[in-house]
Amino acid sequence: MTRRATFGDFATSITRHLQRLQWATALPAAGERANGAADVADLSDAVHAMADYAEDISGVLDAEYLARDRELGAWVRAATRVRQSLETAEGALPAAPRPEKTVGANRPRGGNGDLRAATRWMTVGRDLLHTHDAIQTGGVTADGSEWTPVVCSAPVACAILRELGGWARQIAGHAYRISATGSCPAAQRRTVSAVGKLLSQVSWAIGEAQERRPVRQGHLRLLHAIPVNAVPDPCLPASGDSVVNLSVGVISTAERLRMATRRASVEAPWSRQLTRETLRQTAGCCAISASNMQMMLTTLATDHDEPWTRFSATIAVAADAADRARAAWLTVTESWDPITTDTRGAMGSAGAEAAALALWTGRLAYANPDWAPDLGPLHSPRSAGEFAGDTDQLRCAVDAAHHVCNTLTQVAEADREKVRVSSMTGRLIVPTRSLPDGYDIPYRFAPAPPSSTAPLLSSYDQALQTSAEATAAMAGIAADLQADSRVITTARAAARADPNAWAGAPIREMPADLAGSHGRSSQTASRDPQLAPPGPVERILIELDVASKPDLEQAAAIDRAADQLILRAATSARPVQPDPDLGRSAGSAELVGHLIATNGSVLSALRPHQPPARKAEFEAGG
Amino acid sequence: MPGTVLAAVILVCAFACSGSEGSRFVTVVSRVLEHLAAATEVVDVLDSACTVFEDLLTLLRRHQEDEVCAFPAFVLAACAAANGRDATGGVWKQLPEVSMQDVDDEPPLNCAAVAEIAVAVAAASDGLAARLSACALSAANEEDRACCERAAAEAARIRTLMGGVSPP
Repeated sequence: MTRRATFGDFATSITRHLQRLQWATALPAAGERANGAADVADLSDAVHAMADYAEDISGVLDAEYLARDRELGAWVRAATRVRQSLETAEGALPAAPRPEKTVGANRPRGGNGDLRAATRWMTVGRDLLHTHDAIQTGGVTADGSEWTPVVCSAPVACAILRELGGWARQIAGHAYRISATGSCPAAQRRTVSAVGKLLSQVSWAIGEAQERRPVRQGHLRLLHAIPVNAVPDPCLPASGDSVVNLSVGVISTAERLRMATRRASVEAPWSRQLTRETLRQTAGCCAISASNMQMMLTTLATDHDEPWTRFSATIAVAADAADRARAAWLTVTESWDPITTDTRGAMGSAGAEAAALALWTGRLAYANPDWAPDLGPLHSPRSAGEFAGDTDQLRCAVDAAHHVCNTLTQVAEADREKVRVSSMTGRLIVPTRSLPDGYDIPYRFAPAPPSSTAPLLSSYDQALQTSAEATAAMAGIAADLQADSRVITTARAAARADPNAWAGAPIREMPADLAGSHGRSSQTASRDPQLAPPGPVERILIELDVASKPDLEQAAAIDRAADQLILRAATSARPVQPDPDLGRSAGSAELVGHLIATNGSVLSALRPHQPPARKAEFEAGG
Repeated sequence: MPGTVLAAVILVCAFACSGSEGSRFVTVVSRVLEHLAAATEVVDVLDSACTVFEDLLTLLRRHQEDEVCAFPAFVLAACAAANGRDATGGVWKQLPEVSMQDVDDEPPLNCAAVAEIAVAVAAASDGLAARLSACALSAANEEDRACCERAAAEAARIRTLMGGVSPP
């Protein structure tokens, strides 16, 4: 089964490329040659890509601020400043002809491959988010996806902005280096330096908003979990699939069921596939899936190894909730007996997907590797050891159960809506003879009166409530275990603009863009991991694969001493030289870049200045 | 020929269901299956089949929660029985509501007894599927033929769902 691309995949690639960019030497890499025009063109592309993000985010935050959340002010201001800064930078960097168009394709081109790659991933990442857009053509709005409200939510917009801040900071350092290498004319260097300063302003603006209303870890996780909008491939479990594979299959099939149900819900007023058979099978299969999850959770709660004892009570609560959901769904199947639909016989895709989910969850819950519903009652469940051999397996099982419960909730919500709409449009019918004597209808069937549909709607209400309770119980376990399915809870809160969406731990871990390229950030204990990227000396040691803590601490101390020296010098030099150009050389640009990154409240002497509008100057200089 | 098949089915049911619940079921279903065997007109066959589906549905729902491992097969079989009942004309009728409240007091059956019921239901639905398939071939009316075929498919589905069970 192929995993779908997520925004996190691209964000990780961007970060990786920008880290290499940040740590690159001033000399061009092998196979590349110094080419100022190419460097500027790459920088221009990156700024354009970021400006596109800023425009999207600005719109989302403005709308959310006006409609729902007045506490978004800091982020709205940040988004506005980011957009303005990037627009100014775009204006300063005109779209110059790309070097590829002027040199032979087989000749090595200049510029920086990592920046180009990062820009490409930025564009692809934005395209991924836009696959969830609701498209409006000819007055008809096509629904996006279940992720559309999440993509358009304030928490996700703020998380994107925070990522943008990290990218801007790293690209700013690169800009300073370009301006210092001397591979381009003086006027061009000044423009690039000004763009670097603008990018630093972008980073600061976002940092300020982050201080006022921090983006939560869950928001970043949610952003990274957003997948491309596509229907997962249908597949059936193979005999003897591992628990991990089965969990992936359950999650994928659950998503297919949610999509089929949503689609059917939209088509409820006219679809020929909206039949009693489909809705009854869907309900029956949801009952089976809930039963399978209840069996799995009961096993986990009662027959576990020592490390999971602390989860027993919460898992037992979730098992009880799943059992109540099972009973409620069973009532739904029976509630369909006295009512039928105006179309009959067809089995819709939702019914088929629900059956597939029942099969997948059964394979997960039962020990028989070839389990299927038609194998009868003589099967034993899996042992807890098969679910919870290690933490990863337990997380996988919890992920699957959480996704199933969430899916049951959404199916209950969608099917209840289908029933309500069908009732309103006269698509639910009853035999005329079942109506009270007062009705005089000369046909075999009549539209179901409210007294007939009420029990059915009530049974769906009950299924919705119990499934939601099971989902909530699973959410607690997923949070305790730090399972991936935590994003379900965050996504629901974000999409509903729930004030609780901003509860939870703010981002405390070292941002990915600041972490060491080989995940060695924990070794660099000598500096504050929240705030500071490694300095030039420490970075060189990391690149040399030095893992010795004393050496790294000494390097960090040298970097700090250098920072302090520069700060002292800048303070004393300010009256004498009010406008120092500290980005004149690659060495000083890197030191200053690090100093700025580690000291948010750095002296104003080191702050970049507003760029002059010098498009004409740039062109003349280029 | 259908009569011979159904007589054999009744014998299988009687043999499989030695418990009290199974015996009750055999008594009810065997009587209906006899009617089904005797019916010559398509309308009569469909009417009898509707009653058999209804009886199967009642039995399946009564015992679907007795044994957790049998739950999936019983629920899906109950859905198929309900669909079969609708296909054979149950959709026109005002059906008696099958209330689970009536059977709440009964203790749940053990695994072996549930397996016995599954065997009996499989045998009954096998005979039902055969009779309905034969009826579909002889039906002059296109609509009747479609009804018989659809109902036969549902009966075959019940047989498949219950057929994996063998008495312990």
